[in-house]
Amino acid sequence: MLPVFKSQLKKDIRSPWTILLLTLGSILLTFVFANTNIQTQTTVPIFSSEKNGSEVEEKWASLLNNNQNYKFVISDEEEARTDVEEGDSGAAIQLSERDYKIIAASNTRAVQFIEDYVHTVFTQEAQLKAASGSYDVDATRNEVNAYLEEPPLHIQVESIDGGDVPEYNMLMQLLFGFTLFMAMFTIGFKVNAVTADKVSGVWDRMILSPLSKTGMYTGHLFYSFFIGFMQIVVVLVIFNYLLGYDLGYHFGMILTVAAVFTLSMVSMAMLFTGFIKTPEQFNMIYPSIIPIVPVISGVYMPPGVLSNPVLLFIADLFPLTHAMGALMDISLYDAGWNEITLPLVLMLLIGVVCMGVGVNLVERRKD
Amino acid sequence: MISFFKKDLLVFWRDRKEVLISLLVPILIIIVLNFAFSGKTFEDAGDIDIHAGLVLEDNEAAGLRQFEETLLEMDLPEMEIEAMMEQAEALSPSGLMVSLFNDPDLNDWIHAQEISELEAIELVENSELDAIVKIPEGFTYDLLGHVMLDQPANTAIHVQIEEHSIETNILTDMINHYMETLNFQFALGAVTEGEAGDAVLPQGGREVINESAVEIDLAQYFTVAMSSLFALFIAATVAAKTATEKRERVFNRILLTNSHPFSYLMGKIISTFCLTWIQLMLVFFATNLLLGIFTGKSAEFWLGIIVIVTFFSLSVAGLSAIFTSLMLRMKNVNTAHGLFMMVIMVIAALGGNFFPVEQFPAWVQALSEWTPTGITVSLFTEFLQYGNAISFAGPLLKQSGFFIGFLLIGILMFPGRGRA
Repeated sequence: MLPVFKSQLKKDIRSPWTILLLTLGSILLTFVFANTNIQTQTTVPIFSSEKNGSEVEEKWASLLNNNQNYKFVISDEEEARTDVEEGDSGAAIQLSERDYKIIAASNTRAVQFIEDYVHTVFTQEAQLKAASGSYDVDATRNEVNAYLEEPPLHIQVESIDGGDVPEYNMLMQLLFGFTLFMAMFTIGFKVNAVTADKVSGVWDRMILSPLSKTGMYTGHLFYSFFIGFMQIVVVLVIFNYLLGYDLGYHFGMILTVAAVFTLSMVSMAMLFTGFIKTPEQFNMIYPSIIPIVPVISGVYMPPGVLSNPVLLFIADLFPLTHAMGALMDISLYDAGWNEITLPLVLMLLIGVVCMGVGVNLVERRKD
Repeated sequence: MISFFKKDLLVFWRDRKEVLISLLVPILIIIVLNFAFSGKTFEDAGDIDIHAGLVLEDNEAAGLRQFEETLLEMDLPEMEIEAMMEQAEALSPSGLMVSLFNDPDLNDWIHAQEISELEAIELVENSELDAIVKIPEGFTYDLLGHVMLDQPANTAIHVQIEEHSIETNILTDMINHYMETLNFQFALGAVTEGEAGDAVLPQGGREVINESAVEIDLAQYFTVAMSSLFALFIAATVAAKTATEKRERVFNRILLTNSHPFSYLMGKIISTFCLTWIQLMLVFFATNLLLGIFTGKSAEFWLGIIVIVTFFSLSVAGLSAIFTSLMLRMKNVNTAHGLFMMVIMVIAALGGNFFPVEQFPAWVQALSEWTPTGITVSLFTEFLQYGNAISFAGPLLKQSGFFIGFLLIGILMFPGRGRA
């Protein structure tokens, strides 16, 4: 076992580019997609074709821009209309003193949201105006705003026992997701060394040597595990300690889940190896299946979007779903060992089944 | 060159099983995803069905009585107390909250039931309820005091949930919106003390430029996203075949036959183009026949698809030129594969093949417009939404630019005689 392990390690030390590339890749992907503020503002052009157009525009622009989701920008009519026609913005708003008209490219839900918001602002303004009568509207508005500082009705979201509910953290989900996803590639490429050895004849020469077959397999598989796990550890350590991401208080538990996940993925890669003959075929099939796994497992989407039972069942066949669930539970909800036992056991089960079938398929092949 | 093209097609033909897999996998995946997402668009999560438990700890009658006692203690004239009590009963604070959940418009998708707290907690823990809306004890009295006597009090409605989900977010947003409207009315009432005139409410109105435009649904998005992703894999596959030819010294033998090395590269490019084109068209036609994703589209639509697919296939063919040259140059086959995968993953992630890029910041979206898949996905979705009202020239020009650029890089990196 050890000589095989060492020989594989030597190969990677001589040309470490694959691993470095994939490690850097997972940090890079996380940075581009997870490190950005996902809640971006939608820009909506506004214009007025009235005589005192600029006055009307100024007035409504300041009133409409009191929110976080939309940014209303003053523009002229022609520009706004071409923007909408060419699909650069979903809707534009034509303003008059007391009324508005939405100019939309099509009847989408996003347009409906904009309309709802604009309607509320206009209605409130109309009511303010009516309420202030002959007095100054701005004075009434200030009074109303002062009153609303301490509104009579408000809502308090809490957990069942009255504590805080942690806000779901999509950034963290993407961070774990990309890290595990990239590790899946590394693991696959490393397990593929078994087939590469067979094709190059090294495997046959090893069989003639005093090495046992178990030793040959364990050497390769343990090395794949070692590299895959190291990659995950390095990425997580960088994020947790160097870049200051808060991954919760149980880094040890996170690493345990990562280790079990790696083990399970090594087995899964072995199963793929069982179906193919040459390393090139592996490089063709494995990378075309793997990118779909996070899509199906819902790594890129907030939880709850995927609800189809068939899809959930397929996702459960891959260790990624269980690992993601356990990691999020640990870092967000401070889950203990009891809560993550089930995902750990399921991952181990997937690992045992895949490894059993995979090694059998490899051994029974008649070349 | 033709003989090399023939050779590459034969190489694929000999590996029928693998080629068939790479042709069928995208169709299979689209079928699965379509099954899961059919009829859904990005803004909604399909049919939302919210189950909430309404826990009424507040006793309205007792609250009103307590309020009356407070008024009596305040040394007010009897007439005024009576008027205020009438107003308080009309206001009916907890009734206001309960009436929200009895709104017939909402009852289609919000199912609220009045239950006891213990029962509610059990149901939430069994995931049968999404949230508990709790109107706390003394709510009536506190709110009346706040609104009518200006006595600040903590009058929060408690929404208890186990964890955040789409359902709970919609529920809290809705309650919040309802409360904001009420608060605004309270504020107006307090500020003007009931002397308001009639408001001239806005009429609104909507002018839709393109009535026939349709919202793209997830099944259609995934069809184009997945098929273009798998097209990128073909470029890597062709390079993988090159690795076999390198290992078995086919390439060196080809060089010895005194044929121009570029012919070899050209054979790869043309065969990639053909394979990509066939794969994409197959995916579009097969998914349409099997799932009816694009039913009722005109011949013009399919012509547009053919144009988009053709230009995208060119880009992929160009990419395969780079990959082939790199494969011949790099010593370690696995490193080369890692590199190809990274390149493909970055292009795919930026191009919106895994998730729509609309939710990411402007600079990511701008970058997306400069990846072959990003151009294809956005051109396709726009084409689907607005028909041929959109301009094809820009995206197709970019796509050709990619083809030529990739091709040049591929040729420049291609190892000459004696270097491979």
